[in-house]
Amino acid sequence: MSAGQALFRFYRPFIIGFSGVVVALEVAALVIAAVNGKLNYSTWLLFTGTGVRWWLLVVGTVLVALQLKVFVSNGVTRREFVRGAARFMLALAVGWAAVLALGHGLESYVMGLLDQRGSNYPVATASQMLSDFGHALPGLIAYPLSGAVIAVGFYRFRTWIGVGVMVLGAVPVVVGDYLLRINGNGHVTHQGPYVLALLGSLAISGVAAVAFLRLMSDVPIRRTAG
Amino acid sequence: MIELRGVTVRYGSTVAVDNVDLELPTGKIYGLLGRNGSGKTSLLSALASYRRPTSGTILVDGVEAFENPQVMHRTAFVRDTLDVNDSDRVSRVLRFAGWLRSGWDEAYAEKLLDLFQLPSRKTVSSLSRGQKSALGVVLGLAARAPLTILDESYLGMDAVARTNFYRELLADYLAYPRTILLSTHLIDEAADLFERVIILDRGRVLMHEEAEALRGRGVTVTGPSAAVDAFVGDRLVLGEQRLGGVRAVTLDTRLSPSEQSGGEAAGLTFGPLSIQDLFVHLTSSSQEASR
Repeated sequence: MSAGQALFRFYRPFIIGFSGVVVALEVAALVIAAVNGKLNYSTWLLFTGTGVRWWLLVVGTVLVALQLKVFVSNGVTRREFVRGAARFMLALAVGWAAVLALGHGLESYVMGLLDQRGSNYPVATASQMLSDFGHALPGLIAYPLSGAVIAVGFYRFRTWIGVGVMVLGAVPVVVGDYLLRINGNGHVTHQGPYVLALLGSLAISGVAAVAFLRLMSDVPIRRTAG
Repeated sequence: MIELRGVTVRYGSTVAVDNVDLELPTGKIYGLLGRNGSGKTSLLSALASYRRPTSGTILVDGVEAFENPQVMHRTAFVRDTLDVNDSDRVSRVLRFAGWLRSGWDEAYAEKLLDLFQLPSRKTVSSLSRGQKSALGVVLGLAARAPLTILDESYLGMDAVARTNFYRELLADYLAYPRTILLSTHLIDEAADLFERVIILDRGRVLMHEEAEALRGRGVTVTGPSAAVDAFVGDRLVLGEQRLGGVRAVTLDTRLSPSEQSGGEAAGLTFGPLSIQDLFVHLTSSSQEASR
């Protein structure tokens, strides 16, 4: 089994569990919001969008901090691990971006049926959902990547160098959020051409990915206290 | 063949492995011996690609070992601290090894779990020190990796578990021949397993020989003081004990049959020198020489 396949299999219960929590919270948030009047924002875009980003950041961190040693001790090279982790994180990012867009569509449909959409609620048209996907994806790539870079900084170097790497590692998240963040009303917070924002975010993530690959290429596998 | 050429491992200003050259024919059990801090784990870490050597090259079957999938897929390195996550259950640790190791023998892993009485539903953090070591042995042996490296895998094991470990190691090696490197401080216990012995001292190779040659290298001579004194002559004495009129000396020599029968006629008794005695002598005399 490849490193990527093993990661998918290993994380399957966590992905299912996290998805269950997200759906339960969305239902609860909708009920609470509906009880208090019509909804003027998308709870799905607002809460789930944020929750997924931070969850992916944690996944990126855990991949390096906890999984790297397990893979290498089972005969997997660092390069194979990074390749597998990249496929895994990319698939999660694309999958969650699609879930965010489709979830918004479902929420919008259900709220419409129940006549709970306020005047400012972002109705999920096809173009709105496409925009949701396009704006969410770069961020969902940047978050786990930042988590992984930050983790390898602390794993590889002493604490103070790790802090320096952490600051640099956070850049993809900060840039992605600034350029492409979509709020609960379905509006992009940064005004500017989408293509430039997309290219800017992907370029920064690309640089972080190269740095990550470089830092991982010969990172010593540390002993844990036994 | 495993070849180490000028391998050095440094941690800042500390030199853990110092310009080591070794040629290790494959398909043997090696005993890697050395005092604490002699560089055993650093050398093994470099060999298993856990750490890139600061300088030098490690070749396995003629190809560079570091980050080489061909080599790493066929190497199992089990450290005393175990490279698993404390929160994982034993069953999950083994399942994960099964996913990633092409040679993983699940039935054998189950058999070893039973042998060491390891509870598969327990988390790693709740295992005792000896049970953690046993888990390491399961991971190392059931992987059936052509290069299996076990670094102090007996820590915390009781006498029964250690005996089981040695038996299983030998039985599995005979059934599935491969190269096994065993680092240990319990030299007398494990010595019978070794086909070759490498002694490291302060990062350098002090000795690398066939275990059989080492076993026959020295001799203990016991008897009346005067007879022992006469027998020893100018031979190199490694160690000495006296009790009343009886003297026992350890000699770094090989006796001919005639020398031995002559000694016996003079009332002396002869015994083999253990690898541990030789190790103690070599490493302590090396330390004295450096002072």
